[in-house]
Amino acid sequence: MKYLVVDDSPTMRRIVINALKSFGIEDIIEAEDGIDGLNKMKDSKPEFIITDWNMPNMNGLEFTKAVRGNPEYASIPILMVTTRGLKQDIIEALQAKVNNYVVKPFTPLVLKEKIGAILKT
Amino acid sequence: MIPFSNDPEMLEILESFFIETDELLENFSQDLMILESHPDDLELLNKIFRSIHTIKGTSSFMGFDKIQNLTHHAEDLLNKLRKGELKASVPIFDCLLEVHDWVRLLVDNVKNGVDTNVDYQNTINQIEILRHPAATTETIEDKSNTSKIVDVPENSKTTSNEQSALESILNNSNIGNHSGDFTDEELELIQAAFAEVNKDFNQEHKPESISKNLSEINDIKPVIENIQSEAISAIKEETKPIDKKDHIPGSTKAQSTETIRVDVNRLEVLMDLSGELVLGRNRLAQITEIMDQDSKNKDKISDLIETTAQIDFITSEIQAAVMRMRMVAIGKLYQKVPRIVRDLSKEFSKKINLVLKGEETEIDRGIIDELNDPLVHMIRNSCDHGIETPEQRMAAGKSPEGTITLDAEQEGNNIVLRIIDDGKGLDSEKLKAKGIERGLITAEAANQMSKREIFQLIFAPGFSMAAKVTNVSGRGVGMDVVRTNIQKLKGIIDIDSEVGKGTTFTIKLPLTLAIIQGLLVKVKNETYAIPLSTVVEVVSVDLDKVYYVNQKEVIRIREDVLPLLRLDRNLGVKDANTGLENRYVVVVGLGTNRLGFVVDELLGQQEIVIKSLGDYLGHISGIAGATIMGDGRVIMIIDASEVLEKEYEMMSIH
Ligand SMILES: [Mg+2]
Repeated sequence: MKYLVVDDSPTMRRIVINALKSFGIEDIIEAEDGIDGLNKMKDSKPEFIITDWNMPNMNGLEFTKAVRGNPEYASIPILMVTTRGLKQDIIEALQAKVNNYVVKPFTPLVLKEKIGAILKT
Repeated sequence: MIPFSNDPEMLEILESFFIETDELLENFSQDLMILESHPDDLELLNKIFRSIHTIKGTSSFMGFDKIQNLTHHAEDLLNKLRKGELKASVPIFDCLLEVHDWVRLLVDNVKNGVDTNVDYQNTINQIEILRHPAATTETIEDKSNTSKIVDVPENSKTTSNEQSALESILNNSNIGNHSGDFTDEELELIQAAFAEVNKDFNQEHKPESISKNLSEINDIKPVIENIQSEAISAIKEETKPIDKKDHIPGSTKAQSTETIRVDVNRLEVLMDLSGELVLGRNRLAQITEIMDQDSKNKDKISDLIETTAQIDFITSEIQAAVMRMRMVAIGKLYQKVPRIVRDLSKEFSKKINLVLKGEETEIDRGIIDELNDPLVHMIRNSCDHGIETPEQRMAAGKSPEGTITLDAEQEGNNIVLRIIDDGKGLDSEKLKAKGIERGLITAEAANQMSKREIFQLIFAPGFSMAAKVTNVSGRGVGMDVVRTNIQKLKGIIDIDSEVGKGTTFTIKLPLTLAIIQGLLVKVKNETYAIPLSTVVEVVSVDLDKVYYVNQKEVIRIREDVLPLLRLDRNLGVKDANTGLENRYVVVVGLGTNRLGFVVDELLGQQEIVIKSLGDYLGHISGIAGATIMGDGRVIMIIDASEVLEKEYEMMSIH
């Protein structure tokens, strides 16, 4: 199962990817913003997306909307990982149809639970 | 928990954090200063916000609480700017730049494995005051530490069955309305809301593969928890600094970037090897030529010639490619300048515009590093002594705002860097007087000196131009150190100035230090190379025009008196006195000093790879190293700077 990790911070990508690897997930592609994410998806379609919110060019919310708006991608689960933890932020994310939401900093356990929760339903 | 020090992945993340944060901090301060003059640039404001936001995010994972705390406050302040709730002002920029300085210090502390007491509370207080313009000046406590505990109103704890989780979130105005973590109750509600979304989502799309893929997920390994203390102890255990480790940070993310970072040491090795390759190629070309003349097997020889030509071409390409790898844009050097000019303008109550030109000009990385201190000092000097106060400028009929321009360009195999100010200029009469007063020159000598020679007095040790000693650049150290540093880089520094109009410092440097353009000269039977970067001009001279000053041979070239050095005598060449009639003078420059090397023949210029004499011969005075010619001959490279410096030392004794 292929995972796409979208974050403008290389360090954050590493943190997320390291956590994923520690769960035994190996098939991971990366992108540094929403536009890059959409481009990467053309080459190889992921089955799970983990995206940051604050990014240049196309942020995570716009990216989520773009994915949901494309019939080919609409069914891909999206987990948003961000430091934005205000109520308004979460509501916006919910409205954009992210499947779940993790506030940074998170522990790998939390990340695993959130991924698990999405895959279980 | 896996001990941090045993976890190479954690060290990699840490290293990635350092590299990324360095870059973000640099951008943050630069962008802030641009924003200061373009406060309406919302795009830029957003970028500034993202920089600090990212640092906050990653530092939170590293457990660097202080960095997180500072960036959190800066983020709040920037958010108010973004929303238009605050207007950009000098105190806000001051504060944000202070945040930059603190975070820089904290990151450096972590890098160096030290844990000094960093007290940034004043900055935090200042931010709080700025955030709430109406607030009084009484001490405002750092709220971010206490904000994690928030009372969730009773009614939200009992989510009614009729109300959906999403609705209950929408209706509960307190949820998430604070910084820091959510309370358990809030988290529960949010989870419930997401579960609802997921249910809807999965009714629409039923991905069959998903649940079976769940089994792919193994047991958890806690790798990212509370790593700060482990991070610090790990760094302390590492005997070498962490940023010199062997692995290449970022190499695993090659998919998403066009660049990778390479350890400088690896580049050095490559550089050395390509240097060796050049020598081998030269030798090969030579042998081919000899065989071409001797051999009867013409067919094979023409193959050999062709192959040699091909290797020749490839070698040149490799060499150029390696050189390019070491080149960095000089813009890197400019990075600190806007901040310095900004801060000094405030300190001196001057208005100074900074113009940066030629940022994309590339120069050897090793040179950039060495150039930083001299440049900083010269910028300080221009702000302090060059640019006048607005009042002085207006009185002189100039615009109240002064301008300092930094300009870089490539000229052949050199980089020329100019620091230009439109300030008050250097007054050669005053400089003369000061030079005499300081005992640097005699009144007699002063009258003989050209303008350029007088200007160079400011590089003399102990010479300070400031009428009063300021704490910025009047300490009597500085310009002499600038000159010494430029000289070490085999560079030349020149001054041009006009009273009332301004001053231009011109620094000419070689593109790289390892491969140089050499001027090959013949002194009697010996061939020497003189680094072309130190050569100002070559003139053919009539030795009848040579005369003596203090028993030294000199010659007049235009308005300057040029001291001469007979290379044959100086280098102890045999048969020094069997004269050739046609002599040339190679004028070399170091700083503003000039010296003429008398040579017999000019053999043209050539790219040469400097080999240090180091291990075999030790240092020989006046010799920078050796190079191997195509025919295998070893020739010496004259260290023009050193020879010149020695000569001037001796002359000043007389
Ligand atoms: Mg981000």
